[in-house]
Amino acid sequence: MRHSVKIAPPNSLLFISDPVGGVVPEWKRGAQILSSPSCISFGCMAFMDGETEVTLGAGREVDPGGIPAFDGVLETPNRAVVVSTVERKTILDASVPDRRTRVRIWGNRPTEPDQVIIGLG
Amino acid sequence: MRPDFERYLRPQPFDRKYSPDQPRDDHGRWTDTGDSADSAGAETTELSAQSRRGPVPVRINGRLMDATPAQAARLAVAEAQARDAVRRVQELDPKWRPTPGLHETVEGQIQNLQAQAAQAQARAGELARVGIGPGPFAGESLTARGPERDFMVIERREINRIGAETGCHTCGTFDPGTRSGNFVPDHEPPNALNPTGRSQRLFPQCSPCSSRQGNWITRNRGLR
Repeated sequence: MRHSVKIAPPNSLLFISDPVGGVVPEWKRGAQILSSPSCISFGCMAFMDGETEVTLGAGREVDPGGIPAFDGVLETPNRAVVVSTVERKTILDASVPDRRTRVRIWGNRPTEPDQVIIGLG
Repeated sequence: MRPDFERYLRPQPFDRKYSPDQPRDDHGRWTDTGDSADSAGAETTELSAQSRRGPVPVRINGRLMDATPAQAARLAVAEAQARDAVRRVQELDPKWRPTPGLHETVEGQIQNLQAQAAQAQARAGELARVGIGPGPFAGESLTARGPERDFMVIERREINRIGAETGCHTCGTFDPGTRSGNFVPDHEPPNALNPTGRSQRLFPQCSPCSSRQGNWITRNRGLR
């Protein structure tokens, strides 16, 4: 099941993690996507310039083709994934079958994407 | 003759010095003077400050100690400065605490408080460099209408004008780092660190500093 939302998140930043949270990765200048074993952060279109459409779903359903900007494994001890903002607002969530979940992220451009697809599994 | 010569002739309240008949507490401080309660309180304070000669009791780590009047005054100033500096940092970083020092003397406590104020100032500088609080390059700013990000055209234009004149308030760059070329209107204090709804101002910020600010806030507050 895929879900989408359009949002102009504060700081143009969103986080993917287990619902109980995770260790936010260290910031690095110029990096659009950062990750730790329990949290992934990614940049969106500058919030004052417009909204970003974020889609979350099973990888086989949402895969748009092409090389993802991120491909890694996220700790999901509660068998769920949430996408949240700096202000702790959950904008999307999904159940996953395992305690570790493959996460792929596709953006429609390298910086400030206004379309982001998150594939799980 | 000076037109105010009479004030040099007429007895003034502050001219009254020691009187053995006045009631005092265990530390030798006056407990009452004058006729009315209000004026007595005010006068007692002034007279005590004017005429103290002996040691002043101060409480340090729960123990009463004797301080000179000068030490007591410096201690009060150091306490106020440390309290104010720590409070300003904790408004932005509630978990932060200054490192407590060991001290057993009045001078030790004064130095400890001065060190705490210095630590707080250093922490405020660190926060400013990661975009928490007005940064070292902050110039003009706008009054934020609220925490919302529904910026009006005139606000966006003014933020870009200020950014073009003084740069990103956090790092000083004149490059906004955004695809549009717009500076980010940055709420200070940041919304996520403003649960009590203090008034906020908008400063121009570049995209990388905005991202770093968001990362810092989330790292320090947690995702949940």
